[in-house]
Amino acid sequence: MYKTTDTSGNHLLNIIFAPLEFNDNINSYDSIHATINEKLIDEKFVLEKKQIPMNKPLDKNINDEWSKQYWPIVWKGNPMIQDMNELSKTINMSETYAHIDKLVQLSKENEQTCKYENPTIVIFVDPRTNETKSITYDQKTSHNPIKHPVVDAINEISSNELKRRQVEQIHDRNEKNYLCLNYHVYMTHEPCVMCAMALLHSRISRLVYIKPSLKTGGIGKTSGHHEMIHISCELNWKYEAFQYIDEEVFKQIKDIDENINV
Amino acid sequence: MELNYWKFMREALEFGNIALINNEVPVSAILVDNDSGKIWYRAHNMTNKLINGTLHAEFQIYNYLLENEENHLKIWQNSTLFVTVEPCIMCASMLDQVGIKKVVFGCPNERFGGNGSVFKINYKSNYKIIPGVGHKDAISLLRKFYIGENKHNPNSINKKKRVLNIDSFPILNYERYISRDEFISIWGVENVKIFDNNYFLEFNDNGEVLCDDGNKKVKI
Repeated sequence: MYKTTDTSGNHLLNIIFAPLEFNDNINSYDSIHATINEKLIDEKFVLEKKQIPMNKPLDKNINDEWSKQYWPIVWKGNPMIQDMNELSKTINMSETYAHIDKLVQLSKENEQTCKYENPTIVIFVDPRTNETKSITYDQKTSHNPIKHPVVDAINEISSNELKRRQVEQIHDRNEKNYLCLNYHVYMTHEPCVMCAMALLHSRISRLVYIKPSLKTGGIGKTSGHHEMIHISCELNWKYEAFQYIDEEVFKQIKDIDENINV
Repeated sequence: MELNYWKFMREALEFGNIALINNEVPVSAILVDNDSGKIWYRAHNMTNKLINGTLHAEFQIYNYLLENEENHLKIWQNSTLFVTVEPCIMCASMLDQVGIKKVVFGCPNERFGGNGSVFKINYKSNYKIIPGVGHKDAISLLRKFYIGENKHNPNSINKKKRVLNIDSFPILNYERYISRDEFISIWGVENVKIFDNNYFLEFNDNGEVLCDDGNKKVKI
C-alpha cells in the first residue's frame, strides 16, 4: 500500500487487494466489492479493476514508466541480466556455431541418404578438449521405443571408456569419474523427460537444442508438462539449457511428429 | 489374480543385498507378470561398475527383456514392477513409454522421484503407483550402503563417523503418490487409518497388513 494526496488535499490510501484472472467474470468483482462494503461501513472507498503487466520490468526505464502508470516499484537491477552477463563470458560462441553447423550438415546428409528415418541427431562434446565424444541418430522403433539418441550416446561413451580402461589397465577405483562430467550436448530437437533426466544423471554442464518439442520436451518453460528437468533437481546437479535461436538454422532441421518422445 | 505385494517386494529387497555385495547403490527391482506371478527378471543398479549413470535397475530389466524376449513390450504391458526405491524421473518416463501397468515401490526418492516426489510421470500409460511397501527395509538397505564411503562420487564426504540407524525413519506422505480412494481399493477401508495418519505399512510373513494396534490382521 502507499499514500497519495488528491487535488483537494485529501489523503488517499492505495491498496492492492486481490488478483483477478484475465477473464474473471464480473461476479467475483461484485462479491469483493460487497465484502469490503460490509466491513467498511463508515469509510469511502473506490474499488477498481486494473490490468497490469504480467512480467517484471526488465530495465530501469520501463520500471520508472510502470511506476508512474501502475504502481510505485523500486528498481534493484535485473538479476536475470546479471546472470546472463556472467554466463555469456563462459560461452565460446565459435565452438557453439561449429557444433550447430555440424548438426545442420548431418541433418542434410541424412535427409539425402534417408539412412535414419527419424531426423533427431545428438552430439556430445568434451569442452576441455573440444573433442566430439559421440554422434548419435534417433534409431527408436516400435519394437524398441527406448532407443533414444541420448541414451545411445551415453551407452556408447560408457562402453568406449570401459574399453579404454581395460586396454590401459586402469583399475584405479578412486578415479573420480562421472561419465559425461561437464560435457556439452548439442541436439537438433529438445529431449524428452527421460533423456533430459539421463543427461542430468550423466552430469553434463550444458545442453543446446534447435527445435523445441512442445508436447513431449523436458526442458522448455512451455514444453511438455513444464518439468524443466535441468533445473528441477538442483540439490544434486543442474545444467544450463539453451534453445539455439536462428531462423535459417531452424528451417534446415526437419520437424517431427509432436507426439514423439525425442 | 491380485499379486501379493509384500511377497514380491521381499524378493526385490533380497536382491538388493546382491547390489550391496557388488558395491552398487542398493536399488533393486523385479518385474512380475500380472496374471501368472512369473518373475521375468531381477536387477539392481549397475551405474558404478558400468560407469553409466543411466543403468538403473529398471533399464537393466528393459535391456535384458529386449535381448531375450521377442514380445518384450507385451510383457511390460502386462506386468507390475516391484522396486525398492521410487523410480527416478528418467525411469518413470521410460516405464510410461513402454506402457507398464503398475509400479510398487518401497521408499520415496525425494530428490529424483518420478512417481510423485518431484513429478508424477505417468502421462501416457497412466500406470498405477503403490507406495510404501517395504518402506523401512528399503531405507535400511540404502543406509547400509551410505555408511560406507561412495568412492565414485566426486563430492563424497568423509562418512566414517556415521553409524547405521535402524530406529527412526522419515514419514511417508501417501497422498503425494496415491489418492485415498486408491489406497482403500488396494488395502481395504479397514486400513485407511494408515493413509490418514501416514503410518508405515507393515506386513506379517503371509503378506497381510498388520494394523497399528498389532493384533488385527487383514488379508489383502
